[in-house]
Amino acid sequence: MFQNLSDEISLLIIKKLSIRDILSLLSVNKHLNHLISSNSIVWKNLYFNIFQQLIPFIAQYKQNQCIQKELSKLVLKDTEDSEDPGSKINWKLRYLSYHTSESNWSNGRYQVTTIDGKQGGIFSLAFKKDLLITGSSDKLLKLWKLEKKDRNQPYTVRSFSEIPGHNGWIWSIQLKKSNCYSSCQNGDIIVTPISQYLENNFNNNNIHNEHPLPQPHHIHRIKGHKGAVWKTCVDRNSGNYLISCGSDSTIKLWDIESKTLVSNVGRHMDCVLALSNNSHDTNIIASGSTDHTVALWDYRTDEGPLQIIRGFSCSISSLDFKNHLLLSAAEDGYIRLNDIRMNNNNNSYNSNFIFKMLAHNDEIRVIRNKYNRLVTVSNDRCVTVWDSSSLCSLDSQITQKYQCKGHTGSVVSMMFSKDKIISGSLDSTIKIWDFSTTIKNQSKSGTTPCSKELKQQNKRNLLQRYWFN
Amino acid sequence: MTTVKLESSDEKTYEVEKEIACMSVTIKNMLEDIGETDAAIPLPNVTSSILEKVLEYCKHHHEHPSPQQDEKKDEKRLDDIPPYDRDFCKVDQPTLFELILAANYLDIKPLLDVTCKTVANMIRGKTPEEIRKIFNIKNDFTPEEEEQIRKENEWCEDKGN
Repeated sequence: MFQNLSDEISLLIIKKLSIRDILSLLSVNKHLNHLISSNSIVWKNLYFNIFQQLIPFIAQYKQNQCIQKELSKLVLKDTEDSEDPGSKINWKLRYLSYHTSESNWSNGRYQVTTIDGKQGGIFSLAFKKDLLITGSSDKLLKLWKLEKKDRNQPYTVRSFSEIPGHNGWIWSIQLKKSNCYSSCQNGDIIVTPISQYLENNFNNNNIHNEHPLPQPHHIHRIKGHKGAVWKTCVDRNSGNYLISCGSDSTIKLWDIESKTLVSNVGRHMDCVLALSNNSHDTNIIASGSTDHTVALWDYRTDEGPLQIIRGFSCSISSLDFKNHLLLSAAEDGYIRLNDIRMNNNNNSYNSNFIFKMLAHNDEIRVIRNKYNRLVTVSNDRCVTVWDSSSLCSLDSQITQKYQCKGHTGSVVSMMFSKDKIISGSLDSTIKIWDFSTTIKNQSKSGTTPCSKELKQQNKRNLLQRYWFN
Repeated sequence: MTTVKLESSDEKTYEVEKEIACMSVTIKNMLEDIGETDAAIPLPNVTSSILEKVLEYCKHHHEHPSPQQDEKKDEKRLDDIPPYDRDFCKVDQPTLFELILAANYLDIKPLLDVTCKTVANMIRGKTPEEIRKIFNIKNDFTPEEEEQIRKENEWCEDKGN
């Protein structure tokens, strides 16, 4: 058949097929095999089809520039293992990586790399491309480089630098643009420029010579909080402001350029542990506190909360948004979902409680939602992956997919990208759960919850955390 | 009513309405280039039997314009072939391929789309061996090469789409 048709027409037909059928065609004969493997249009087409499925969903947010930006980023950029931007894009590899990660995510197949953090619990971590930064109780910001010889090899991790200057435990790390914001037990927020570690020629082996430590005068200190700073985030409008919250019950807004206090956004009755900004409604931030409430604020004003959400019976430890939905994770192991929407009649924000769900047997430390995936980590030592794809639909729900087990202490920090989760634990290890490799025969992890005696031990860790307040 | 004459490769002449003939972008362009003419337009790549089928298709769609013609349809969907088109494509394989070639040559996008979809539907869900059988393709791989390809494609095994 295809012999009669020109390649051009054959490709028209191939473009209408799904990946499964395309792979069948690959093994029909040499000509088709060559035609398909060598033709980047086929793979580009497959790759873009993935995103086309998202378009009806995106369309309803057409007016929202932020989402549009996210989408174009999603389409144009790729997974973490970036190719040389100058080189021609290998669509086949790109599609293949995407497909593999997707399939591994949904089936719970991963390769684990464990890093010994040497001393103390890993209270905070963040990564960008192949740079991983962790913060722990030894008051040092540690820089690691994630390396991969081959797509199918596990990560190897090399520590290449330690940045001193913190006068206490490091509770949060935030990477935004070219800066690293780390917040400290003693109330300081330290701004470290990291662009030199993110450059493309980072692959060089003699990092120490090529990328010297930031000079002390490059590191800036934002002072003003009394007591630990638990979380920071950069505003989603201009990116010029940093928002922070701490044990002194306040939420503060800082000018990044001048490192000065702009305003006190608000105040809780007790420590503010959680903070999140909304990508959907970029003026809104949410804060969670040990006073058992979550509050919504417009960070640009200091006129008090837009809304206070009550009904919690314990501290709120982590928050994240998905569009107009607020996910709050609490000390009792429950995830709560609230619908946060502006009421157009009186310009006030309503919060409608949707559901609550027991997610862990102990305090949830971090909740993060991205690309329809929800990941939580908890004192019960588990990293749990959830499917949040139906969150915005009518029957809002979250379903547990699997638990990644392996940590021997509370898991207290976590961040994930399209192809990996990195988690830090009080067992003083960092684990990379890598979903990008083609591996077989690793069955799903069990879903049995952690045991009771663990709870006791974790309570002690918990106490440790609130010691200083 | 303006008509134009078309001449097939086996020198049969057909007189058709200009509007119908102009569903082919190729013919439309030719007419624009040469202007008003009584001479038959030669179509050396299309036989009379295929040209008849193509004209039948164009005539039908001219008389029954499909409502959502302007909307960009999802090209990936294979099950949205309208009933007339589906019946139209129920022909033997050589004819189907000749229709594809003709639609491509004459540049009739809807016809090309529907015929390609029909072929894609024939491939859908088939094993390589079944595809070879359907289209009478010879397997020119050695068993080693086949094994190699199977290995390379293992990554997709558990995913349906």
